[in-house]
Amino acid sequence: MSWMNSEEFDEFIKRMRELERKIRDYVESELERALRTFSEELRQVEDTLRPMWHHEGYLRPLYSIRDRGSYIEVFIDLPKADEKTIEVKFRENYMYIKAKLREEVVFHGVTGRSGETRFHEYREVIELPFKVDPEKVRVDARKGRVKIIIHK
Amino acid sequence: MPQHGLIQLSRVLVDYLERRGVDYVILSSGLPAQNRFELESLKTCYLATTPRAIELLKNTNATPFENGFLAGAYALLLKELSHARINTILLLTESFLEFPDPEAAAGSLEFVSRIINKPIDVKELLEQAEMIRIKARDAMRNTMRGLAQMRKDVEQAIPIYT
Repeated sequence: MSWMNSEEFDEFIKRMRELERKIRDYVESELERALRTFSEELRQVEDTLRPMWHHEGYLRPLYSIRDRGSYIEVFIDLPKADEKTIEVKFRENYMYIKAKLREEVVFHGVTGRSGETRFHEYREVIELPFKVDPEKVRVDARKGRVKIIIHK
Repeated sequence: MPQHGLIQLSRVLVDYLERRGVDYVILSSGLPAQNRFELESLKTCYLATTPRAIELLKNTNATPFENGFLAGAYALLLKELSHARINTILLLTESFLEFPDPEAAAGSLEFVSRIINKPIDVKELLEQAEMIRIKARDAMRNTMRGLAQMRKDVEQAIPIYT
């Protein structure tokens, strides 16, 4: 590099630093995207394989999330739930749902063994796409179904 | 059931109906309604394969399914039945997309009752509705996975042509 003068050398290093920054940004954004995809797929696999009930006596409800732009709607199906006992709590970007059943539900052979398993409540933890401000939440329950509107 | 299996199944079913010389087929399914949570009374609309099938609906207040498109098992079945020129009515009652909806099923059965002019008692179905919803959770989760594979969510999108 003896043919470069000091100014040219500084310019060369500056351009190399800029190139290094661009490569780092690209690698970081690609890695972040790959990790996001991986964790979404892992969540789907977990959701698919995890049973819809727990041996401690609670059921996992069906739910769906719809993005409406300025807010999201979460629908939860809670048949036989006592609507007065529905609890919705938030921590960071997680929503915790709990509701007691109006009467115990008994299933036979759900654990792969003979005998009965009794269920007395619903429990579910739902991951949301953003951190929730509980002040911006509206809960509406009808006929054992719940609609939760969460403003972004 | 995988998509290829559905194609084969619908062909076998229609072949069986043809060989038995069935005159009319009434199919019943759901029509996902975005505002189903708020709806108290559910509308039913229809798709028919022949003018003779439409004749069956003259004493009902059914409205034709004019906009949108159909995907999945009922679309395949309707296509095969139409090719075979079998008089078919597909009833589509407003329902939840993601949850089992026995109330919508009862609404659809009441509609069938009006078409065939014979009473169908849905009282027990409605009484058992909550228990059906509890028991159908696993089946519904699997159905939603199947629907995602068939990209059924396109039904919910804004149509390009109206």
